[in-house]
Amino acid sequence: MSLSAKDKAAVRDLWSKVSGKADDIGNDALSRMLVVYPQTKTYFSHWKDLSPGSAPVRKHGKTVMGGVAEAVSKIDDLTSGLLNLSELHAFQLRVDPANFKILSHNILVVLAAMFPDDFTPEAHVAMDKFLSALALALAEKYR
Amino acid sequence: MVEWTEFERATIQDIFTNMNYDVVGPQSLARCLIVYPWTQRYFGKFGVLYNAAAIMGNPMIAAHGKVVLRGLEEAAKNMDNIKATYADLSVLHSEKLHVDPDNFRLLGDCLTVVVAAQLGAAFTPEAQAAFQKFLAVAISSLQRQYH
Repeated sequence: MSLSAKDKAAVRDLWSKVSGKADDIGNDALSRMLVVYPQTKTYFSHWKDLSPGSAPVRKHGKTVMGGVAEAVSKIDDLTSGLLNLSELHAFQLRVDPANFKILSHNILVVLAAMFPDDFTPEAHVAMDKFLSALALALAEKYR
Repeated sequence: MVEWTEFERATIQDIFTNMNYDVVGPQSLARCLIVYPWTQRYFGKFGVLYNAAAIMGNPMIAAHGKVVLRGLEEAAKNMDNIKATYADLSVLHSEKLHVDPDNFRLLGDCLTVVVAAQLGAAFTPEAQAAFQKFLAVAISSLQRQYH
């Protein structure tokens, strides 16, 4: 299920429309993940405040979306483009890759809520494929 | 027995009472067939599913989307007894329709996305949690009679 030229164009197109709100998207997606999938909180036991929109959540949402932005710019070769991030997640963070799917789902929900007109079914499938490819690239160095 | 908080009950009732069935049903099923094209395997007799535009404009798909959503409404009306409410539907999906239960989750995810698009910021993280819990229970009940 690799990204076709059409998929990449759709992702770039959607990203150009939503990237201005990347920080808000990151904050909302992360907040939702922590509330809807409480098991994900286990990775953030070092934070003082895990409630939606809290300072650590906002800050980390920004970091995560920075990663997504980088992935969009490297969409033609995610595996080599995201090697550093993969090593980070594999050796330091050791996030179970199942959680990538969870965060991806919440990013899609936020895009639908914030950009209902732009998040067409075509944009949805392209974005879902992209986030899956991103997750795969992140998991590259795990074993 | 599923335990529902007052907030969860109120949220589910709220969502279904204010739901535009004519929009949400068709859009959710169409989105599922577009985003997860392998789900089209169950719709061989539903006319043209050639591309996204065809799927979005297909009247048979639209009609069926409403049927599915009304099915979920039944669960929303019987939140303390979803398992029993869905017993026959479960047998239908297993014995007659032969639907791989993983597809229920895919449709559920698309429904969540469409509801989010309808409600915007009103679909708070807490509301989303309640809605997804409800869908999980409905899906589990639908899988119950598979063997």
